[in-house]
Amino acid sequence: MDHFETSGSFYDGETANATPVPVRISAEGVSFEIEGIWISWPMSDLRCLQDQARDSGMILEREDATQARLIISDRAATTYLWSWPNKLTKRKTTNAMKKRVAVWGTAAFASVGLIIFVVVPAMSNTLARYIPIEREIALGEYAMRQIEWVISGDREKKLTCNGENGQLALEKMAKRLKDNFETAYPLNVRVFRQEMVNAFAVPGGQIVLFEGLIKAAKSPEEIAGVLGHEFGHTVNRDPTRLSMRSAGSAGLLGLVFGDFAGGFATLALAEALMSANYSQEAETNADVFSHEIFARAELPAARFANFFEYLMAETDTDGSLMAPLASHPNLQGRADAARAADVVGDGSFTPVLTSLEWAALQGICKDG
Amino acid sequence: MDTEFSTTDTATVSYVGRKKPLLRLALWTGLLTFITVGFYRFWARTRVRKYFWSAVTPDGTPLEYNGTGLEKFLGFLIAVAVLVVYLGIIQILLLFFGYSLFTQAETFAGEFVQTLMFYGVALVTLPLIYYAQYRARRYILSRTRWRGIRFGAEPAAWGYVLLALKNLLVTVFTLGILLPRQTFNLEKYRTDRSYFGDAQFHQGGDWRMLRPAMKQIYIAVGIMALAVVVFFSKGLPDFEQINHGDMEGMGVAATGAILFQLGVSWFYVGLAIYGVASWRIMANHKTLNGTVMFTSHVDTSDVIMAYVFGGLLAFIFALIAALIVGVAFGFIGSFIPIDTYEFDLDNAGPIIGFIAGYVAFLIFFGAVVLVAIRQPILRNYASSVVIHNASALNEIRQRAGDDFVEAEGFADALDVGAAF
Repeated sequence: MDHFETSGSFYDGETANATPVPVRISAEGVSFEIEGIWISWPMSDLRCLQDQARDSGMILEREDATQARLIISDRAATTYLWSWPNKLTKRKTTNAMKKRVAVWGTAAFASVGLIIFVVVPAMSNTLARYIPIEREIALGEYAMRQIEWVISGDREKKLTCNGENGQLALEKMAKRLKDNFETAYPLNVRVFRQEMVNAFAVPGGQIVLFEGLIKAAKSPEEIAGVLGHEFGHTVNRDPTRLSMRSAGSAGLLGLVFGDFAGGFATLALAEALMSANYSQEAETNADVFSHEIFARAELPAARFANFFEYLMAETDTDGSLMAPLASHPNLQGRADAARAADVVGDGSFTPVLTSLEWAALQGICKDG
Repeated sequence: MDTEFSTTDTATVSYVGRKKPLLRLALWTGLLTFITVGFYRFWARTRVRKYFWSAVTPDGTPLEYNGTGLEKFLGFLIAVAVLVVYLGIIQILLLFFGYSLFTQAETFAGEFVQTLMFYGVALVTLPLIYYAQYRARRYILSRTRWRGIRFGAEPAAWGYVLLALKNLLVTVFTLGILLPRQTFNLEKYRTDRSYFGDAQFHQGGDWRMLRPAMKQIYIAVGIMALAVVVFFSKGLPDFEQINHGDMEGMGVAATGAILFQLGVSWFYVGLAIYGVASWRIMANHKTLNGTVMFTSHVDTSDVIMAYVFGGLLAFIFALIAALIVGVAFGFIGSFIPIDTYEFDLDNAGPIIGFIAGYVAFLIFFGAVVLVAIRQPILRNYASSVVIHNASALNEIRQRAGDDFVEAEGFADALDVGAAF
């Protein structure tokens, strides 16, 4: 069969008037008769509308984008048309459109970069200074409860280790450092029953060390170094600035990615992005703060350096160690900086804890 | 009005969309959107819209949606380039107020001030929202065809912003009593600037005709007022006493509280009823070119039922899909060994299963919402319409195209875009 005959409705694209027409379909395309004249639409030029609700029938138009339409409702006719080589679903993108997308795409990239890496950080750094301290403390306490709830799930009460002697040792260590700087924050230190080698500070002076960190250390001065580092974050208001930055960027990333996997994914993305770029400067400052406190307390910062080196060695031999501290790219640099800042050297110093107290701290999660 | 209708020269609108093909389209485009970390959403939205438009069939000829995904993507890029700095600053300010006024609900006044500041900053985006809504509507109309003839709207977005803000202010200051006036004025502004080809739409009637649609809202407010009277009828309840578990004499206050909850629920249903009823009344007073008229008998309860049962169905369906997908992926994942301190696990099964289930839930939920809520509602609205003096439509001529670079980018960015 070299052609197929059916009927259709023709709209000329100029008026809303429907004209019933006889239609002939062949390999060359479709043609239809209006007022005794046969009009041909060649196959290469023929396009159909897609994602239509009707499964029989088809709306045909021409590539040149005039608004004329030919509607065929006969399923056999459309099947016949599809059987020929065709470009029915091909759509051309004009060069003007491509250019627009390229230009605005660049502008959008620049805009997002500007806001995430310049405007949001600058604003959060400035505004964080104007948040009243008591609000920051309230915020920190609230955040702490959230974190405990997220990490522990139902075993909420047991997450914080409460070995009595260990707690006393921890307080002694914190006091040794605190006596060497001024701060308006009440500094609360606690240990979480978690295997990770990590520590973090939340806004308002709440600091958490993980059990894994305490176990990985070989001397109390190493833990004191980490504690000094976290105190540095607190005093520099890093947790507050960071949370403002990530919350500020989360909404924008939501705008860019939509909610393709719910708000959850966007938030995780914002966190990842922020903590990666936040750490460089803030981490160095917190280290410097820790070194200064060590110098004032007459403690050897070299011990802190040793700790970084153990972590590096462990990561080398056991690739599966999930240690956020160890995953920091510049561990050797941090160790070198700590050693360079050491003011005690081989001289004698009063240890942070006695060997008995150090043992109690290491067992802080056992007694409770 | 009825005397002007010709009894024979009418056309009905049918809706031919079905569940299965729409579900297939929605699931497939949802999956593509997930795989492309969200970037397919412009094309997904366009394809679903093409489906819905083509299902609405006035007088036997389907509507066409001629927008493209690329066009929407371009609109998104423009919105990002223009709006991101503005929105970023607003967001940080909101956060700052949130943090500086952070309280743990210890003082009611503190919370109140915080909320007020929050909305104060949020209010800055309001003019932009109205602007974006008008522009989005204009874009969608300009991409809608019927019988090869374009729809369209006049470029009048700033006038719309002014009118909308003025009417909103009046509504707020009259405690919502003049809501029908706001609804009508905005609809009239939009309608009077809308075209099919060279024919202009016109919104007749006036805002007072919408008052009956407010009935359920008034009843709800009445219930809430009664609840407040009952709650305080024995003086201010002693909250200290309640906290100590001493409920003696609290029966009346409890009745008041329950009554208030009822009033709130009634209010939401009332709002939904108002939406449908006011649409119907205004449709009955619309004309095209002064000759073509419309009547609609859209049923409120059908629309509300679609929300209630459709929502329930979407949740159950998505949950089942999530369980099946989650278990299947969890089983596959259980063959992948992992070694981590963070979780007490020796294989990746539970993690992979959870993530897959979560993703499946989101994709299925979105798809079933389209099939079980959006489509039935659209069917109700569309098939309720009858066109009178339909033969006058044949006289209507084409209008010029409307090049619209930013599409609905702003409306999408501000999250005030169309439901589909």
